[in-house]
Amino acid sequence: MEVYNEKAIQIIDEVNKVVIGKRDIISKVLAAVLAKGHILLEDNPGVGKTTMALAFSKAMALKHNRLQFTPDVLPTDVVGFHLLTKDGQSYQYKPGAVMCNLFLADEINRTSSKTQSALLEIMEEGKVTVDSITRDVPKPFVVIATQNPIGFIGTMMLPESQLDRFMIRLSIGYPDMKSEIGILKERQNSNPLDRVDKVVERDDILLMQNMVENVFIHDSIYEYITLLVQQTRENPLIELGVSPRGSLALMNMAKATAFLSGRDYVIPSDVRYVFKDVAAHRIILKPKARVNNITVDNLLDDILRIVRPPKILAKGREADYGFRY
Amino acid sequence: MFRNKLKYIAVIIFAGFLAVLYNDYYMGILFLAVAACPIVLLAVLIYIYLRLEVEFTSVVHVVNKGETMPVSVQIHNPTIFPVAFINVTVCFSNTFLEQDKENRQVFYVSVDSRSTTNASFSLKSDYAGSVIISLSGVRVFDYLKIFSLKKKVHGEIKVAVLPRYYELTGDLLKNGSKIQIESDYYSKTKSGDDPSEVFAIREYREGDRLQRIHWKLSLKQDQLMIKDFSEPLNCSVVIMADLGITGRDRLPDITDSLLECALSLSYSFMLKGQIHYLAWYDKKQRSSRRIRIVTENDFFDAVDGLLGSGPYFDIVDLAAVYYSQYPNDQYTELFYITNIITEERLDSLIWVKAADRRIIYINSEEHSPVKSHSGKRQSMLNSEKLSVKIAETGISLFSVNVSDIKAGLESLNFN
Repeated sequence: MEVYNEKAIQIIDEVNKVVIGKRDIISKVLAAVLAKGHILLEDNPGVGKTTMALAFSKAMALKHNRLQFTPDVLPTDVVGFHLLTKDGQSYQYKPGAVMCNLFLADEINRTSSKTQSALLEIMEEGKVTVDSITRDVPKPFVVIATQNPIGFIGTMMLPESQLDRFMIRLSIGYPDMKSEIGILKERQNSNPLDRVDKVVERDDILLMQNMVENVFIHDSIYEYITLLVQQTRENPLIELGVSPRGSLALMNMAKATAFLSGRDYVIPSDVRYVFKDVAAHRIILKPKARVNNITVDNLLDDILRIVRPPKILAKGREADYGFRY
Repeated sequence: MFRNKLKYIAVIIFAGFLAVLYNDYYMGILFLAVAACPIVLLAVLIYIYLRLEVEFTSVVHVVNKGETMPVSVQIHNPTIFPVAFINVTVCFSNTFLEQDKENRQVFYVSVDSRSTTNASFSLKSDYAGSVIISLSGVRVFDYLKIFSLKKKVHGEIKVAVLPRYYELTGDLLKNGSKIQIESDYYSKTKSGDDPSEVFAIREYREGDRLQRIHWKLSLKQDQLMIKDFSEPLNCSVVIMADLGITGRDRLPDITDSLLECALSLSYSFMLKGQIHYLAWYDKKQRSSRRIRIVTENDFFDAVDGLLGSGPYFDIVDLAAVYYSQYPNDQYTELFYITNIITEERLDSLIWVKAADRRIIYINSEEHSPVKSHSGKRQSMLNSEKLSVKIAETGISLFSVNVSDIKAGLESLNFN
């Protein structure tokens, strides 16, 4: 496990060469990849969303496809289609953009809802159905979608069912002054993406995903996750709370975070660390929340304060909220 | 605590007296122990004080009037020493009503070693507004209550107390209310069907209507171009909520009634699908603010704006301010909700272009009968001049008593 944990850290280091000063975000994206999830990057233009996705594909040696979602992109561009062969006797499958390991859906909210919906099956089951024939997409399969929160004219909001399929939603944010100076220096006469080295092979990622699956979770952590999620469903200002799929996403993200920290067990701080990223985009507020300008972030902070993390004793003494089995 | 200190000093003096009196080894030890005890207690208290974590939380940020607001103070003691006495003082005040009075609630809690105590309490506000709840201090005592240290806890909780609002079932508008009024304002975010204003020019997309093709531009660009028309932000109805108050007598009652009345009308219009403006005077910005109410989100935006503004005692003529900001607006119906009627205000109301103008007068006099259309208020409106003016201007006047806004509004017959 230690070897693979080091490799994971190396991936973060490689991506960090390109996306400077955002190590925290990079590690969360990697955690989502290792937890077999999909990532929604929501931020202003030019902060490095696409660059980050490309850097990941390079560092992890994944076959990647990028599709710029525009209003005229059709579902067949995404999932593929059947073409009548020259002899006119049979149909040949022409794969769509999703037939890759890392699918970058750029500006996903700029396309029509029917094209957005074409991703539903792939994201949930890792399968593509075209003309009643179901095919598996290559493994590992990760969707990194980007969307721009400003300039919403001519955009289509992602439906809740689609949002729920994204394991986490992240905002990269603007770099601090020191990082920005670093970016300016780095990009004078070269593309930093050229300096990203391959760290792992595709099979290594699959192995790491299996390791993440086997990370241990104590019963009290299950209870903690459930309590957090239930609070989102019971809050009087929340219309739609986190779904059971969201609970699973939270658990898997916590496992991946533990793995990246070099542990084979989850501690409550792993759950707290990813809770807002996993839950925020799954929550819909009631109109009443507009009074007092309550945001999803405020409510999730409240929930994290109210639900106390469990205390677990390790070998007779109190561990730092940890558990070793 | 001062008494406890005196008592303990008395105990030390007594122990010292015994030690001198008996000149015994054990008595000397007893005296030293009694004298050293406060030092040990103080050391323990400082240790606990430094490690104690206090958090002030509430999951409720918006409540209805009269509903309880659960607030909890979470005290986490990670030390091995239990804490017997913690004095928690909570302050709360309604900032909307600008009352100087700050209420306090004090309670004692104890926390076991290495554990967390959750002290919960509930507050209730009888009036709408913005309640600010803060922890003015958490005082930690030693076991003998000789010493205490005050821990500062930053942060406050803001809870919005919503005024009551009802769905009014009767006909609120005259038959002509569905008339579409022309508007100079267009949506900046949404395209519509008004061909007089072009919202955007864009490339052709599958499913676009042929009528929308911009043929000239398409020829120029050598590809089909579409013109999107604008969405006019027209409203045929406006509700003006004048939160001006003449005096501080019965201030909360009158303010609540004004809010209740304006919001009930707006809420009922919203439910009936009648798009309208809800306008009020924002005393912070010194101008009128209005929100076009189409959905529940807009309605609560307006509630937020009203609660953020609050009542005012200055002589503000809302209709005049509104007219100066939107001189070209026209309406079929104008509702003016107020507690003050003067000749000047009636004049200002005439400026605002509306086919029908209605004043809903919030009557704060007790035992005053609620009368509909002809039920003109006596005290403020008993002046001959004002009555003549109202009759001349053709403004309809309705009176609603603060004692029962719902019944008052239900009994009004606008048609």
